[in-house]
Amino acid sequence: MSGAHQIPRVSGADPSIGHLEEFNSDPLLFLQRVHKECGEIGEFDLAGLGTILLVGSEAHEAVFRANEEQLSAAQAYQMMIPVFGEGIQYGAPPHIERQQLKIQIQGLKHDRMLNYAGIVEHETTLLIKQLGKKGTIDVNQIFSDLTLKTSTHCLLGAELRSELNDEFSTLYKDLENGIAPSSLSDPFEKNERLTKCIRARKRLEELIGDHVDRRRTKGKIYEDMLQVYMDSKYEDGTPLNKAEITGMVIWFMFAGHHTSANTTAWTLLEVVKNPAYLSKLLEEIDQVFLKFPTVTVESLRELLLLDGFIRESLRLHPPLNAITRRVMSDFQYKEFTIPTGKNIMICPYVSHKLEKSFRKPLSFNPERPSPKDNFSEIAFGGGRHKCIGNGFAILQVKTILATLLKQYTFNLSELPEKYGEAMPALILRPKDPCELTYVKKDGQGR
Amino acid sequence: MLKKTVKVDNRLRYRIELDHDLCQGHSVCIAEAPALFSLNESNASYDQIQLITSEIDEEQSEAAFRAQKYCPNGVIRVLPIEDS
Repeated sequence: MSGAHQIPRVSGADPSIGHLEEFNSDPLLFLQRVHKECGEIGEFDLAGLGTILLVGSEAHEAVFRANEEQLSAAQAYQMMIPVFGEGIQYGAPPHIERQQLKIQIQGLKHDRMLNYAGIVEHETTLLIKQLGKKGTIDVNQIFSDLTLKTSTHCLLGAELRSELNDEFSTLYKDLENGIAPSSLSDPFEKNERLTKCIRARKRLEELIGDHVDRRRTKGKIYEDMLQVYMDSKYEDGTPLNKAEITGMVIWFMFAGHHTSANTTAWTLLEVVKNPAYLSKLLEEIDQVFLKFPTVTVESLRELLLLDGFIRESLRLHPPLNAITRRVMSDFQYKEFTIPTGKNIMICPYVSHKLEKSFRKPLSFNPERPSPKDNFSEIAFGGGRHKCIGNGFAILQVKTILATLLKQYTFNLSELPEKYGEAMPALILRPKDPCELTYVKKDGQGR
Repeated sequence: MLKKTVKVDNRLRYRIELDHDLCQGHSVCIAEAPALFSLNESNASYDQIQLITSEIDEEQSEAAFRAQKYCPNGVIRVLPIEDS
């Protein structure tokens, strides 16, 4: 009989809150334990919310190909509503969310990308002017600042980028801190974190709303995402209002800012920690800059080893590790039936280290061939909810690193084992402090 | 059973496959091979890429392979047509 098999349950549940405390204190360690104990499928309990971890490409494909009526992302990610606002993405009815998603992707199409590469290079060049000849950087701090500038510039245009100040950064941090591991089990839990997040969202709406008004008064047309939002209409002809435009901006920034910042930080760290590939990587970068004086989509395509470094960093240090769906009607996976009302979770950090998917999975190999299927490497998720900014993210990380590595040599400032992992706000990043020393190459000095 | 690739006028033929479940309409393929791919505006979350033709010859294969290589979602496959 199908569905006759019992889903294995992980040990150690507390009678009242299940595994909530263990999950909240270190989600990755806990999910690794679930996999080790239960295998491909294992159940745990987040204070009454039964959650099933599914591991491996076959399981990922089953989940990512399921439709929203069966496995709902909207129901699983209710915690995003206070951050993005009511009426945006999962806070909107499905037919509105669908149209908003379509608007987002308009700004991420290939023709728009051609413009973004130059902007990211320009912002990185401004950073280089500040860095000078030698010094020490904290990669978390520096790439968080830089990607806030690059994302804001590409998204909201040069004007708002030039007005970017500490208030914007603080508001944005308050928004990000609105999410914690506990948000998965209790998305609207009343606490200071969430209060600050809601207040920050309101203030951002004022700032972005003013900017939209100023732009409309001027009547000039810009080549950025904000213009896409301002010009877009729903199928019934209604334009997006200012609250919706703000929500779209936050949605885009939230999805792309820290994920890209952390990937840039991890990749630079791996470049420094793997000197065997360094001369080949630098030669590749020099050759490409010789052929193309400025960064373009075309030139980035020729940076194959750098691409390998980024993808391998994403494999070993995926930013998002609790990809979740709510089961809306009983879901059959092999001989198991996952009942309605449970959550399904996929964890790239666990799945990316499977021996059956990756040879010597724990070793860093930027020349590792890409998997033949679409479901082994899932740093950007998969299916209809796959991160639509995946092309933009790679473009951004590649441009920043190629521009920096062309001019600087970086070194670890601590012993390699001091560089660990941390996962606040459910996004994996290098543990603080994460410092590297840098020195400008000969002939590159100012 | 041994399979043989199909040749017409001594040129190899290829088949293009598109995984519509995973396509989000990024349109890189259209930039690379406008004669082979087009955008089908739909009411779904994403505009879907449509194949203008699913069987191509060697001459068109270079553009098709570029579309396969640069598709951000890896949903395009270009395969030599084989006699079974």
